[in-house]
Amino acid sequence: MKLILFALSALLIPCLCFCRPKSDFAVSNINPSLLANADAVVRLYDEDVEIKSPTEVVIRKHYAVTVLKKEGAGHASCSESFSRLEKVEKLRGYIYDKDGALKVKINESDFSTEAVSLQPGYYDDEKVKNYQCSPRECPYTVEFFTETRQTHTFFLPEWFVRPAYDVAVEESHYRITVPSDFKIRYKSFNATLNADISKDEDKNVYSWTSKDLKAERPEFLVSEEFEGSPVLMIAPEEFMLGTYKGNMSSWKSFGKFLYDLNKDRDELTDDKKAEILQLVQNVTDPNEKISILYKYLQEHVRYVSIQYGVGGWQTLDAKFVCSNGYGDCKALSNFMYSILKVAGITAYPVVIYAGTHDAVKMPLDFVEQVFNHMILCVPLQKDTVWLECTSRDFPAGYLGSFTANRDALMVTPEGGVVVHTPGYGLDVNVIAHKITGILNTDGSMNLQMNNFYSGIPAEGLIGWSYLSEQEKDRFINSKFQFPSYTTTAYDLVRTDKAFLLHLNEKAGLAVQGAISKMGDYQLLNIDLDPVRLPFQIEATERKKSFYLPACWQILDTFEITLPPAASVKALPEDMDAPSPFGECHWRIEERNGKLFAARTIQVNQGEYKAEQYSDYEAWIDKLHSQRYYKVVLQSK
Amino acid sequence: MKIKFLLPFVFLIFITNSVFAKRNFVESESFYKEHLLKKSYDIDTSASAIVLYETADCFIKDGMQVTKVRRIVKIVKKTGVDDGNVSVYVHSSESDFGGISNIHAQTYNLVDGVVVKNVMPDNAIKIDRGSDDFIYGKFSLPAVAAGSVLDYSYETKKEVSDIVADWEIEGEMPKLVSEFSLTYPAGISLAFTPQSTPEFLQFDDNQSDSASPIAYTTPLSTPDIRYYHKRWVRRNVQGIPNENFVYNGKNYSERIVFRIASISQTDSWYRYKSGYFNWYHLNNRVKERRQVFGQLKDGHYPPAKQFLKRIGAQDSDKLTNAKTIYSYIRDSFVYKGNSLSTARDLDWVLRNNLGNRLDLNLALISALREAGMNAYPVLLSTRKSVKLNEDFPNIEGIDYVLTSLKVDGESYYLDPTGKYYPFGTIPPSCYNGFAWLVNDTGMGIQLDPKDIKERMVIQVKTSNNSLDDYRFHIQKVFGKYTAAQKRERWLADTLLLKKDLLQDVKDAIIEGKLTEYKVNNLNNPDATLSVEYEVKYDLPKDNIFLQPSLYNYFTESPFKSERRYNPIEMPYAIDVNYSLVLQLPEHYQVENPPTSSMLEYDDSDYYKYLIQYYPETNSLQLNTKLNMQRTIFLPKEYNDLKTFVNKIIETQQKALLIKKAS
Repeated sequence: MKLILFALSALLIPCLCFCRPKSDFAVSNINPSLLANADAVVRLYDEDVEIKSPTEVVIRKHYAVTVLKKEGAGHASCSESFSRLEKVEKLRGYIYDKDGALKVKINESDFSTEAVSLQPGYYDDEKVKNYQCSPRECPYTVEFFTETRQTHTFFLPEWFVRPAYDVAVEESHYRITVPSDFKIRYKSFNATLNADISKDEDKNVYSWTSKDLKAERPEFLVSEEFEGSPVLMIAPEEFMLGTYKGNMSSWKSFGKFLYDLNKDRDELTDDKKAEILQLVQNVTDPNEKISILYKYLQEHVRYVSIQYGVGGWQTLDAKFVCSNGYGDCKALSNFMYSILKVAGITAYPVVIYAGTHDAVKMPLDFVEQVFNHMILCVPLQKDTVWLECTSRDFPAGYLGSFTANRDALMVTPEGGVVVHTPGYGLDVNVIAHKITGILNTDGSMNLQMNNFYSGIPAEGLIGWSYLSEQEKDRFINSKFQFPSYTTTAYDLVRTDKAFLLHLNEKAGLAVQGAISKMGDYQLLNIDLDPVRLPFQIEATERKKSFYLPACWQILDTFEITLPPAASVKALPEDMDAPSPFGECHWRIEERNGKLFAARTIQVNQGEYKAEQYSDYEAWIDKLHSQRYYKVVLQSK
Repeated sequence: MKIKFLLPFVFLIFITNSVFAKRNFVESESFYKEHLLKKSYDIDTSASAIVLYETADCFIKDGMQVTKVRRIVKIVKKTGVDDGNVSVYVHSSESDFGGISNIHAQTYNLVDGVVVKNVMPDNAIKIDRGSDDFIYGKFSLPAVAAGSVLDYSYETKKEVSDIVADWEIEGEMPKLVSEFSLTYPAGISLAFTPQSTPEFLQFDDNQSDSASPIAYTTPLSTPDIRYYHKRWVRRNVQGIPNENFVYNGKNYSERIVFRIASISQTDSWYRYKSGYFNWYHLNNRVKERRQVFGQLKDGHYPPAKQFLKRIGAQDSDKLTNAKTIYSYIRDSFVYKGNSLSTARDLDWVLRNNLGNRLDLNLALISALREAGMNAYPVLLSTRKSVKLNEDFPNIEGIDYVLTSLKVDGESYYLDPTGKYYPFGTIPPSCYNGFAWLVNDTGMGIQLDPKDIKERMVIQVKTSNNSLDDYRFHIQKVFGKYTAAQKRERWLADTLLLKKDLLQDVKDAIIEGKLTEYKVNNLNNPDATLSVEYEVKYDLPKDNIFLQPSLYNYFTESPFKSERRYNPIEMPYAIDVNYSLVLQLPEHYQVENPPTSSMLEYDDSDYYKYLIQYYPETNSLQLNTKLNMQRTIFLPKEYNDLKTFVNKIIETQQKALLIKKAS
């Protein structure tokens, strides 16, 4: 009998800890100050992480979200992934109406099971158990209980206090229990989150709490990470991944683990070695060798993602890539490393967080698994060459905006070394339009363009070669901003220069309706290729600082031959618009029956204060006002 | 016992041999070498990859269909190497026997003039369940590079459905040869519905030595007295063009739908699954099935009566009642998704004010009928889906249900889930051609895009003509369809209204500042939505250039491609009216006022630009009207339409020079 009672109480205790009276979820109980800007409110979030051993971590979550309006319905879901390294053990949930009355019970069988990667060329063992609450009358509340188990301590669950901008949080708790000899480290972002540390027999318990976090209206061009939410990252000092043991107490030791995990996977067949040596046999310049071998890589292998279990971090060996002709970023980097090695060139893999500027940054003072990509670093005597081994388009040595200008971890036999990838400055990121044209008496215009694009602005155009004839037709006939034109000639060719992406564009256009008729007068827009900068109107006062992610410049010259019977009645004034965000200059003049215009625009990368946003808006308005730049012509 | 077991096996061998006895592809090294040496193909010199040969052999037996697919692809350019990654999907629930099997693949490359074959290892194949209702197979071929020839095959198995197969002849890649063959029980009568194909000639490619037509079908053969076999061949097919102003490209791509038209009494193994051979069959099924429309009663239905009493729809005028019922359901019922085959208990729906699209329509129809009106459900496909076929119910296209109402001799279509639409207005995407009205006998109807018209009115007038404080008052009255979109956007976030107006001011042709604004009837979808706002302009002190057509439907031409392959499908007919009453700043005058003009595409599609300067009041008036009644233009009309739109834009650019009076 005692045993039964004990067993029952053991079953009930966790439930009692989690359960709250149902009436708690009544919408009327929400603090009104949390409703502003909120589509949903987290009523309660409780995450309990228990590290039983380096190969056993149990994660229990209990959370309740009130959906206030249909835009917040996406937060009324529960999603838990599973794979060889993690499994889902328990799932259940409840749905309550606005008064907190229980309406629906959700069992594990109500969750769908879906594969994560369905697209061709993506292989992994990850699936997800998912429950998405069907649309219902707002407001309503969903409550979920989940328990999952992972067989590694390579990374531990982080705590996102606020899941998205449009969500407010009443209260949120995170607790991690570890054996007393298992050391963890933690770091908070976007807020100071203080740990409450206690002992429970031979275990250490760390807990954090956050309350009354308001929702926010998302703003444009913000650089903050994690949508501004307070976030706690937790990482172990020593960990297990599969059968591999590692240490994360320093970037050096973490890099050493990655090295050991991936070492001895660079062997090539003798035939392949001979083929590689043949390719570079008479080449002495290492830069040239790298270019030849990078081209070989691009022509012989393709990106296919293969990430089963530990394979998410451990490369497939070079022979696999040889025989199959494909691999993921690790496998392709390892293959490139292997062929460079055969050619006598030493390279190092570099793990990095790839993506846009506002993606996760590598925290230099907190070692953790934060990487999602691998590239290759080739240190040479005078310079260092960086290789993006998954690109079939970039020139050798060009990383692109995906991985440029950020901290990363180079993996060497001695361990990890923090490195910074090269950024691309004003000298690289250039768009130049050189346009000459003849204005005809009937108002039409024939233009010849000789433009070039380099660096990041050129990246958007390299997809040109992927387009079909019909797509090319639509592209070139939509690219320029004349109300109506016909393309008489068009060519976009790669003219890469010394590890830089560079494109030349030549076009011939027959433009109709180039002028606005005004009786005897005619208005001609001198801006032959208008530039639109990234901008979004703020209808309310700007709250957060903003950033411009890259610096770049535009260098334009326009030359238009006027009809003999036309004379210039009025020219727009020259314009100079300096600002902290960049500069814009226009010079316009008429000489010998021709109009000459020169425009330079320079945009400075950087972070700016919220109160500068209205100045930025005014500056953008001034730049965009070039569309009002009209030359008045009169018939002689 | 042994003989019984062996028979199907023998039969399969026979079938397999017969279907591969084709002249369009002969397995030989020379075939691969010829294509490995080839650098480009006349059919499309820009293509990244070309299908050299593909065949799908479909075999129907015992309620299941097994399809063997083989495809040979030439990778012409480096940009085509991702075609070496292949995915196959088969609809399959946990309980049926659907699946994917027999995946084989090899890549051919030319190395030093020698054809080298790389066979895909089994570990490069993944077959798994993607979710509760489908299985997928994925594989990546080895050693794929520009110039390679890929050759892969697989087999899919699934339960037979009324639509046996949808042979999509046109795909993303151009194809040199595409073949489809069917082997089916003699008790089944099949129907074939081609779309956009050339005529398929009768041609026996096993007997005739003459050149194959570009589209042909082989004579019906009987490999076994219990089965028929037939094959279709199409050669030299372009890839699908991807163009704007097309509701759904699949409506125009080359394809043939193979469907079961009837089944003989002897084939009872299949009969239990069938039923949608024609629209009347479908009508009877959905009318009777409780999960669809089976709950609708012709006579009195007490729950509906109580519902009418609860909402107070007891006016003597039927139309007034209809509007009350519609508005109540539209505004007070919670819409829970687009299910068309899982009706809840209607009594429960009426009491709880919630349900899916089917439930809400059932609630509406039952209430209208209880109020003495004739109301019926309508099944249709929206524009994002393929158009419905008048000849047979292609049920995969049906994705929407509406209510048809006839009252006082007038017909109305109602969408109780259309939260932002007034009585009698349904979303434009519902106007997608043929639809089916479900009643005792059932009847096809046409929801033609040209039957709906969007009327917009924009009025701009000077509210202050002082040079230092020059202002326009602008009023935009939205048509029903635009209003529904604006309501959805602005009610979700009222700040978006201000953002949109600020953007409007920025996009206008002269610089200005928004000073005040208001919106009318935002919360009332039955009333006309309009916005009014005032803009202050900092005018230059000397010459003022102004394009008086400040707000335009076409700001730039949407028709920029040189060639057009598909018809142009406009969302609805349009009637856009713009008027400007411009009081010039004091002491300023117009120099060289522009002239009026009229552009006509045809009698019903035109643009008027009527401008008049009144020196006595120093004011100028512009009225423009863009009227486009037609909603479908054929590809051959593209150039004329393009020219028409370009001329409209050119006319809109006419400018005024406003000068200080000397």
